[in-house]
Amino acid sequence: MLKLIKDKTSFISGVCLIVLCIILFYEASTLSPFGSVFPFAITTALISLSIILIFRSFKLEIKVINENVSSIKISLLTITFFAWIYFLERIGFILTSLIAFNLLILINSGKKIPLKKVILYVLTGSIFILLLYFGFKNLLLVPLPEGYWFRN
Amino acid sequence: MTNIFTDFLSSLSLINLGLAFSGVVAGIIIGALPGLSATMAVAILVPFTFALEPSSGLIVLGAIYTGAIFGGSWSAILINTPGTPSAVATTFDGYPMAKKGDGDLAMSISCISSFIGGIVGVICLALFAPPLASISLKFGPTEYFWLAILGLTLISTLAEGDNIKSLIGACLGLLMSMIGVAVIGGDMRMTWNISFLNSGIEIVSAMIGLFCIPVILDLTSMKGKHLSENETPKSLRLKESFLIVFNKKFEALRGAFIGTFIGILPGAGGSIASIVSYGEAKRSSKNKDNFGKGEPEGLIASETANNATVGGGFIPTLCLGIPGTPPDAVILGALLVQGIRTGDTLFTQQSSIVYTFIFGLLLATIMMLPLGLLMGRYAYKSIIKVPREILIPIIIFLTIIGSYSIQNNILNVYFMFFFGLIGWILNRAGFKASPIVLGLVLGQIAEQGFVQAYIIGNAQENILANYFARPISIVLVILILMGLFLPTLKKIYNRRKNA
Amino acid sequence: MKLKSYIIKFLAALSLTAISLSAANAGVTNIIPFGPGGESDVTARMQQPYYKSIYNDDIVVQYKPGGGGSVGWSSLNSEKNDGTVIMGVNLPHIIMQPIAKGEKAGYKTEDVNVFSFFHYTPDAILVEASSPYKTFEELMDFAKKNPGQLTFSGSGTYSANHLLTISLNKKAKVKTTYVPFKGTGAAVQALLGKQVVAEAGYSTVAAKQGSKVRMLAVASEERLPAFPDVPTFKELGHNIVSGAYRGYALPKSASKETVKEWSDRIMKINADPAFIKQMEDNAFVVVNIGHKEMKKFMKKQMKANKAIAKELGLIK
Repeated sequence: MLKLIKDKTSFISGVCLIVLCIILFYEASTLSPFGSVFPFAITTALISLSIILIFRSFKLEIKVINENVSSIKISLLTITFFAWIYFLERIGFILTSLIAFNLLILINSGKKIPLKKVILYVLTGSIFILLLYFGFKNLLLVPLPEGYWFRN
Repeated sequence: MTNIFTDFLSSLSLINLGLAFSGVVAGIIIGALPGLSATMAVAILVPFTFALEPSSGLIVLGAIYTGAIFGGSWSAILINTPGTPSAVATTFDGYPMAKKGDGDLAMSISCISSFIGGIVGVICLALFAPPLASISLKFGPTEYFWLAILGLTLISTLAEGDNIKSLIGACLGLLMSMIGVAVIGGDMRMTWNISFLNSGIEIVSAMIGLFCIPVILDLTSMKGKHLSENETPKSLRLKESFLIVFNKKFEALRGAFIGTFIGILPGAGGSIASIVSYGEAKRSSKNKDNFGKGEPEGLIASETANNATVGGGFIPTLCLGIPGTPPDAVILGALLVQGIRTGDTLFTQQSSIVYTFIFGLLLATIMMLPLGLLMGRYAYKSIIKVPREILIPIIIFLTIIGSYSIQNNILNVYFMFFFGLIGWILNRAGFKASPIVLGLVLGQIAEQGFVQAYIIGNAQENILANYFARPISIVLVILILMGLFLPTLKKIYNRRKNA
Repeated sequence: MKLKSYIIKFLAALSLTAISLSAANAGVTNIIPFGPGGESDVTARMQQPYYKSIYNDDIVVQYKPGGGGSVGWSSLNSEKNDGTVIMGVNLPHIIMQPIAKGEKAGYKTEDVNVFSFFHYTPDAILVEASSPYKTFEELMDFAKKNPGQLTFSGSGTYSANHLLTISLNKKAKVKTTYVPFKGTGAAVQALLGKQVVAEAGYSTVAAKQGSKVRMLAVASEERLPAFPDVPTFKELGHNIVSGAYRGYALPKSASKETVKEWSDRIMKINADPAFIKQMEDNAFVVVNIGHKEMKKFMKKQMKANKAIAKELGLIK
């Protein structure tokens, strides 16, 4: 059966969309008359399009051109990114940013960059962060997180 | 008329010139940083304006506003992230241009286009404000609904090859625009107990996520430079950019007028203006296949339109006391505190304030051209040299601090992150960002217009008449039908001719 | 080239020091749980210069919009409690939201440590200047003869504007149609563009729009000084006194002294005749509900709003 599907990405997308539509139909049914007009209309359109998409995936494939990605780097990046956000309010903006920022430099450099350059990046990066931190905090009056683990 | 002359002179006072200058510079920088919007910049500055004369305060706010709308194109061109929501359509062609090595060209074109758009907007404000304001009042819920539909028909023009996926993308965007409290009905929709989503999807963090995260993720895996440099980096490419815009002067003016017109409609704003102008440019262009791959016409269309909304948006703000765009709401508040009444009295009794302000805005827009070109060139040269290893953390840092600053809420940062991941996955599955954004931006207008028109029509006991038998609506419906069927008709006609 | 890069680095360091020096600012923070430009924002900014001249300190206005205010109010108690942070609060919002949304509101009315309400904007019925209805009676006449055809624009569903039309329907025994819009600006736009017959709004709309609108009735106890010709609903025979109260709150853990201190500060600004005039010119009604009167006042408000909620079917 799987061999019959020419466009696997479209097929999977279509199936996921149909599941989404079913959930949305259920929710729309709990809404008031005025509040449910558009949800019903758009969900109906979406489910029809998804069905067309699924049928189409059997017949032809419209290739999606994607960049090649290295899964290791992407996963590391995503985890560090998330951790950066997660610790922002806990450790405080400055500390978290300095740590995460420099970590990211290391992740992206890999093995090919000489140590001297890495140190240069770390220094300039940290200055950049500090500049923007104070700029946002004092000029733009944005209350950047202080870090409640430390606020005892 | 002698009054106008003295107003013009007072706008040239040293203080006002200085304010216009610093306003534009600050505005460009703030606009360029994703997450910091023109609204925020204006809001922070308001207390400082209380120490100034009302017209001077207005000038600095207007200068920041127009600078920010232009500045948003910088990050749109360089990292595919609209610095302000109004620069969303600038990413469509600005970023591809930068990837091809034409980034400096793109930034110069953007500056010139913003200048043209801004000037047209301000001139319309100066000369035609009252009549344009009354036209904007004729736009009721029905007209807003048809306008949104007109905007949505642009999906077909924005589609790059895969029509079904573009339509699905638009539907997803429309669904996302319904998240939160329904204006009509009061229901809480699609929030699934996440109170953060109560007021709906916050558009700035959504755009940062949707446009920037995929770029970051792709960059990590790439080797080599982010943006290719032009072979002759020394050349200014100024002459080239001026020539390009001059060759497309008609398109530039069209974009400016579309932008001014959308600006006078309260609740529309720069993002809708840039998208509609872009779609219209693509639809009527001879190079439509090049759109999305780095076509200067697309860039011109987007940037003229969004800067025109600055001047255009002041029309309902000053004439009707109804803010045309979100920054106008802040400025209105500031005016109220200063005791300035908007409306006809503003143009008659307190006309010196208004006209000094308009001239000041004009000066700020004029200053934006050399300042923007100069600053842009410098910014471009520095960013081009930044190696990928440090560029990625810098971009990530900007997205975090930017999205946090929107509402001083860390939830926006989480949202930006997850929305971006979803956007990246969708992108890899073939669902491009532009139709989704289109649906997201236009959804509320379409829905509210539709339901409100229904309620009013129902109260008048003539629902259909309320949808169709209104002069402006008829024009809009004709435009919609033309847009939908003209290309197909043209094809059939050509086929018949060649047969 | 080297000189250039040194100059740049020097300038960067200079700006960094300049920026961090400006960090030596005091000031108190006033968090407005709405977007900029609204009534909460405007009145906060009106207070800024008076606060500065009395206490020689700056009030810094910040925005934390979302959920009609609930995002701000649910985060109030995690702010600093030493008196450097206050937050704007609105009635009926802080009572109605927890009632209508239960847990989803994110906070409980009792947890909001309100210390003062300093003004309210009474509800009002407005028509456009060229409307054929010159008095409230004429408008109601039209409504009685044409049930359902009197369209009111207003901001949102189950908002103060909406509740006004519901009260009106009940007390004047008419059937009107309420058309919700997103925000007061859009509601006013619909009124001016004659898309609807009238607007259920606030008195501040009349102040802002001046001669473009006609306020037919206002839901205050007495006539507004800025609008001596506009009758109150009470005078017209309908007991409707409603509107939005605005004030400030501190985090729950703030000390009693801090609460008293802040209440006194706000009340002092409220006593300034220039401030009062500025507020009244814009159709805000100054009220002086400080921390002493707060408990009783809130009790009364809770009772009144719970009754309305019961009528609407929001609570059983």
